[in-house]
Amino acid sequence: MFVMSELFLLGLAASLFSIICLASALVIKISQIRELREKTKELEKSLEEMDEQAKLIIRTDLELNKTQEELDKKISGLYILQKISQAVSTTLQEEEIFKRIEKSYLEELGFTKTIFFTFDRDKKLVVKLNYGYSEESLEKIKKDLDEKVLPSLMNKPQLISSAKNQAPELKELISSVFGISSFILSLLITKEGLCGLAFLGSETESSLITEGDEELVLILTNSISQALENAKLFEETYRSHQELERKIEERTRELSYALEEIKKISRRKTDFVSAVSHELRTPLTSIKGYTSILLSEKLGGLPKEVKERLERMNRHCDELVGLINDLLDLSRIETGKIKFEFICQKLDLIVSDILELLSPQIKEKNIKIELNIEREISVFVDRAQINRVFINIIGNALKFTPENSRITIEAKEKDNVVQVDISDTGIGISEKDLSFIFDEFYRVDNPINQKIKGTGLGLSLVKSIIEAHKGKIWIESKIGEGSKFSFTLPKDEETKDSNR
Amino acid sequence: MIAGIGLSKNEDPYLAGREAAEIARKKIPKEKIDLAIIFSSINLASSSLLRGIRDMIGKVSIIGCTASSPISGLKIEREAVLVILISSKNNILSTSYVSEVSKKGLRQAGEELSISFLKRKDIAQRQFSLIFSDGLLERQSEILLGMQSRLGKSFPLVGGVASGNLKSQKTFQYFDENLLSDSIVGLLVSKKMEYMEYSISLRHGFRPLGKSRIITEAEANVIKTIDKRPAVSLYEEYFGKDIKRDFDYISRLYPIGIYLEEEKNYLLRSVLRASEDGNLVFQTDIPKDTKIRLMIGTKESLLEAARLAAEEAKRAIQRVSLVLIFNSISRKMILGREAEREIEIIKKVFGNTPLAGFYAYGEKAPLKSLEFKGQSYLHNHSITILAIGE
Repeated sequence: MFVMSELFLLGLAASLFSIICLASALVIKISQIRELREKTKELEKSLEEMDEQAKLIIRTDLELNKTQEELDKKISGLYILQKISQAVSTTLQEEEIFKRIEKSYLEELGFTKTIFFTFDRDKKLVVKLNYGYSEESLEKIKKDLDEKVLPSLMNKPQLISSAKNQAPELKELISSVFGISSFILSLLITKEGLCGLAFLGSETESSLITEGDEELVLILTNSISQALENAKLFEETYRSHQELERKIEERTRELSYALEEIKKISRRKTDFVSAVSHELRTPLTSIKGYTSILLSEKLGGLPKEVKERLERMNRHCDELVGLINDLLDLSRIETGKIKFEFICQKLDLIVSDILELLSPQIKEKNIKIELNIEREISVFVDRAQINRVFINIIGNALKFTPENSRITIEAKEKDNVVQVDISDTGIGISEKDLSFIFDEFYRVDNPINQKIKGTGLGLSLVKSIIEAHKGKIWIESKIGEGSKFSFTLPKDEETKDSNR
Repeated sequence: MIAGIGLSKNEDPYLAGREAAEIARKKIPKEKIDLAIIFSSINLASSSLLRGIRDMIGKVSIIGCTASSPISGLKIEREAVLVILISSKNNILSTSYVSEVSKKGLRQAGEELSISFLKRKDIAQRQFSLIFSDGLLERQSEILLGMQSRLGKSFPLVGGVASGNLKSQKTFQYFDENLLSDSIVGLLVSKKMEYMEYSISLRHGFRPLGKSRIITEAEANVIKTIDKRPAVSLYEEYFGKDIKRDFDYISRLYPIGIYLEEEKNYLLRSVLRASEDGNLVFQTDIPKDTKIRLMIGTKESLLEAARLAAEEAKRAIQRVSLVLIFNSISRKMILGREAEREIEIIKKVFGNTPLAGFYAYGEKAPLKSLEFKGQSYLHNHSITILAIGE
C-alpha cells in the first residue's frame, strides 16, 4: 500500500514537474513570440520609414531630372538660338532671313514641323518658310488660319502653347488646323504691329513642350521680328536712296544738256562777236584814217565847226577801236586763240610797273597806295595779260575812289596759289549788282559811270585772263564802304611743274 | 557572316533605298547577298523604298521595320534609312512573316511564324531568331510565348518592336517587297557546318526603390489593383495626387520592375498609360500576385549598363562581324543629350565593326543573357545587343 502510494506520489511529482516545465516553456515561448512580434513590428516600421525615405529620394530625383532636362534644353536651345540670331541678324533682306533658318536648327530645338508666315501689303498671309508640310496642305492651312484662327487671335497673348493652361478652344482649333497636338504659335510683332506668325510643332517622342521651349520660341520670334524690321527699314532707306540717285542723275543729265547748249550758244556768240569785230575794224580803220587825214588839214583848211565835229568823230573812232579790241581779246581768250606765255615774275615788280603807269591818275586824285607784297613772292603768269588785270582793277579803284583816299594792294601765299587783294574806299557796289559784275557789257548804274564812258567789258576780260591762269576771282563790297577785288594766281614753283 | 551597312537621308524613299543599298553593297562588293535588314524612319515607309533597294541589289530577302530613330555608327539619325546587307556562307537564313496579327491573336501569330520557319527543309541546327513586330500591338509577350511553344522555351528570341513618331498612328514592317502593318517579320538563323558564334546581351541599369508591392488584381496587360488599392495609386503615393499632366514623364523615368527569382534579375515594364479609373496599362501581361517594385536609374547607371552589355556581348565571341542594337525609346528620352554618348560607348567597345540598330517600343531578348539559355522576354527601358561573328 505504502509502495503503491509512494509510487503514486512519485508519479504525481513527475507530472507536476513536467507541467511546471511545460508551463515555463510555454511562458518562454509566449515571451519569445511577443518579442518576435515586437521585432516584426519594428521591422515593418523600419520598412515603412524606409519607404517614406524612398518617396523623398524619388521626389528629389524627379525634381532633379526635370531641372536637368530643362537646363539641357535651355543650353542647347540657347546655343541654337545664338546660331539663328547670328544668321538672321547679318542680312538685311527679308527673303534671306528665312532662308538662313535651317531645318536642322529647328529640329535641334525639338520642332519637326515649322511654318513662318508674313503679311503682304493686302494683309494676306504669305508662307516664308515651311518645313514638314506639303504644298496642298499649306493652302488649306492658310485658308483656315485666315478664316478661323486669325480672328480668334485678337487680344490673345503673343504666344499660344499647347502646354499652357490657356484658351482651350483656340488651342484645339490651332491643333486641328496644323494637325499637331504639340505646338507653339507665336506672333511676329514689330513697332508697326503684327507682321506675321510662326508655328512650331513637335511630333517627336520627347515632344513635351515646357516653359523653357516657350521662352526660347519667344526669343526666336522676337529676334526674327527685329531682323524683319531692320530689313524693312533698310529696304525703305535703300529705295529712297535709289530714288534720290535717280533724280540726281536726271537733273545732272538735264544740267549737262543745258550747259552744252549754253556752251554752244556762247561759242556761237563769241564767233559772231569775233567775226563782227573783224568786219567792223576794217571800215573803222579806214574811217579813222580819213578822219586823221582831214584833221591834219593836208587836204585843205577846215572851218572851226567842221574841225570840232571831226575831232569828236576821231575820239569816237578811238573808243570804238578800243571796244572792238577788247571784244576780240575776250573772244580770243575764250576760244583759246591767244597763246599765253607763262614766265616767273616777281609780283612786287609787276605791281610797281603798273603803279608807275597809273601815277598821273594817282597823283591827280591824291590817292594813297598802300602796298603789302612780300619781295619773295613770285607768280607764273603771262606778263602782258596780267598787266591788263592790274590796270583794269586798279584803274576801276581809282575811278570810283574819291580824292585823298586810299587803295590797298596786298598779296599772300595760300596753299598752291598767290592771292591778291585790291581794296578801295570807294562808293562800293550794291548786292544786286555784285553777281553780275563780271558779265560782259554789264555796267553798274552809278553817277560816276553815268559820267565816265566804258565798254562794260573790262571785268569780263579780267575774269577770262584769271581763269586762263587757272585762278579764281571774286569781289566783296558794300555800298559806301568800298570794294575788295581778290584773285588768285599760280605760284612760281608748283605751277611751273604742272604746266610742263 | 559578312555585313555591309549603308545609310541614306534622301527624302525620296526610292532614291533613299537605292542610295543606302549602293553604299552597303560597296562595303561587301564581291559577296553573294543573302539578306537585307532595313530600319527606316517613318517618313520613308513606302514600298518604293523596298523597290529602290531591290533595284540596286537584286531580289534578295528583306526584313525590317520602321524606327523613330535609326542608329548608325556614331550617330542617332532622325530621318534616314539604314540598309544592312548580309552574306553568310555557313548559315541558313530563313525569313518569314505573319500579317493580320490582331485578328489572329498574338500567341497564334507567334506560333504561325515559328511553324513557317520550321517548314523549311534545309533548317539545320537552330541558333536564334530575329523578330520585328508592329509597335501598336499590345500584349507583345504573347508573340514570344507563341513562338516559344514551337521553338522551345529556352530558344533565343531577339529583336525590337517597330516604332514610329508621335504623329504616326502606325508602325510598319518590311518583308521582301511588302510594306506591312499589324505584322511580325522574322528571321531564323541556323548553322550549316561549324558552330556559328553569336551573343545576346541585355541590360537596363535600373535599381529597385521603395518597398515591394503585390498585384492584387489584373487582367492580361491591365493592372487594376496593387496592394488592394487602385494601381495608379502606386505612382500617386510616391509623386503626389496631382500627377496626371506629368504621368507620361514620370512613368518613363520610373518604370516597374518585376523580380524573377529564377533569373535573379529585374524585368522592366513601361506603363503605356493610366486609365481614368486608375488602372495601369502595360505593353504586355503582368499576372496577379506578381511582386513588383518601382525602379530608378540615373544617366550614369544607364550608360554603364550599355557599356556592360557591349562588353559582355563582345567577350562572348572571338571575332564580331556585325553588331545590332535594339535600344529602348524611353532610354533615349531619359538620356536626352547623352543618348549619343550611349552609342559612342558601344562603338568604343566594338571598334570598327559594322554597327546598326534602332530605338524600339520594346526589346526582345533572353533576360539571363550571359548563357542565353534562359527564357526570352519582352523588355522595356533596356538595351539589347546582338553580336554576330562568323
